[in-house]
Amino acid sequence: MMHIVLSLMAYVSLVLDVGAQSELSLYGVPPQFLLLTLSVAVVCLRDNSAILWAAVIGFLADCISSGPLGVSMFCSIIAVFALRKMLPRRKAYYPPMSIGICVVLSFAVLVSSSAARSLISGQSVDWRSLLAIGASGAGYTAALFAGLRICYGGVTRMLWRFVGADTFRRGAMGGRYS
Amino acid sequence: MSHKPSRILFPLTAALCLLALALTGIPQSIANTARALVFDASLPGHRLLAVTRKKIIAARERHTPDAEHDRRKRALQIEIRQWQQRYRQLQAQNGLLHEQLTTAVREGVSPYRGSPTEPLVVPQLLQAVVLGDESAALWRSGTLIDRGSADGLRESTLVLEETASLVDQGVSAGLTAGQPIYSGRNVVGKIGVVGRWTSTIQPLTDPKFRGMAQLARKTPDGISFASTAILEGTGEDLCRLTLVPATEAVSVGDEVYTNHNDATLPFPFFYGKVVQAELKPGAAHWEIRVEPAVKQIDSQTVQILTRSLNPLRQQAN
Repeated sequence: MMHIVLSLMAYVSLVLDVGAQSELSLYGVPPQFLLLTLSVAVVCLRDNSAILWAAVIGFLADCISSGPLGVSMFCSIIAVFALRKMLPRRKAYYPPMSIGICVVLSFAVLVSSSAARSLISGQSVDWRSLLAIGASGAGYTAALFAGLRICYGGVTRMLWRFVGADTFRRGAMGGRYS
Repeated sequence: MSHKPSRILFPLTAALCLLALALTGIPQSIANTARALVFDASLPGHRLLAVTRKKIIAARERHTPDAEHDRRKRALQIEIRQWQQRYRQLQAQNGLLHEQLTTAVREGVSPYRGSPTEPLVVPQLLQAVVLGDESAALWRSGTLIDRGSADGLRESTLVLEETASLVDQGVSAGLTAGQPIYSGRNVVGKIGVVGRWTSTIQPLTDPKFRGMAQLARKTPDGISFASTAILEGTGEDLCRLTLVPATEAVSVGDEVYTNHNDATLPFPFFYGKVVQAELKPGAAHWEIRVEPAVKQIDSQTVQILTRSLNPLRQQAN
């Protein structure tokens, strides 16, 4: 079920990243919908499929960027692998931790892939502006992630109330991290 | 997928990293094909996004306070105009009744009751379409009539040479120069030059325009019509009302109507309002300026007053 949801999210993210990124920019900072989907995959998937999703989403990000294919894919895979190794699996579902994961993941992928592309094409890297762009992009994506998480929590609570379950006993996210 | 990731996580990551590195080395043509495939796959989503964007823009336009405000303003302006016309109609009606009552009081009521007869001349309001600038230009350039004067289809040269606005009726509809043109209850002007199918409009402000008029003064009993005067165009924004005797009481804001003594139509039509009224010492007449009610023809259709012999009288004879 999660993979179907992620597939839909990835498709919508691809469309939004291509078609509506400039319209949804805040003070010149565009949202990174594909990285948002990757963050959701990392937070929600307990098995190794998060790495596969990193490859898929990285490939899609490469397809809508200039330069050679595989750069974002490689950076995404490495970033997700590092997160998997560093963080205990169950802690990832805790809301502040999940937002932190989104910030770190988005920042790492944005900065590393942009720097790699510049280096491959033989251009010098302006690290200051690159870090600023990466930080603002990661912040915006994390804000969207937090909003998504709040909506998800609200909808889940309403559904549990509708079916008559005790939400306090099950926890706000349906007992996944309680 | 297994829930024991540690065993296969590293090999899986390594394999995918190798694949990614391999992708960086593929030829540009293959990369472009892959990009095109991904973009093609996203096209349905883009179409959906475009539709959604259109709907959002339309909804935003519908619900923005400015658009709503403008719509309400337009509706209120139309409503105000309708009420103003109704007010003028009732005012004119009241003035006529007041005049009839004054006459009846002054001259007394006849002891014999007269029988009503059919009038000799009956009025007819002919509806005509005002040609827009583009249509008028096409008409004047002869583009709309592609056959020559040899076929007898050429429009009057006088009409074609004039620069005034055109109505789409001419001699064929029984129009003659000087017939008054109305828009609702307001006077627009007169028919200037009559062509075979079209005629020019001579507006109130045209220097050649002359029309019989009457001042309507507001009194506590309603409006009261003063003696007959002549409304003249000056070639400027304001018209001149002449031959109003110095003995008449005139003030700014008085209204000017067509002369109702002609009795062709039951109610007089509105010319405009007095905006300047000056009586010089020793002058026999007032110097009055009138602002026309119709400065520009906004409506697409106008009515032209034509008079014809009453067919009932013809049959009777």
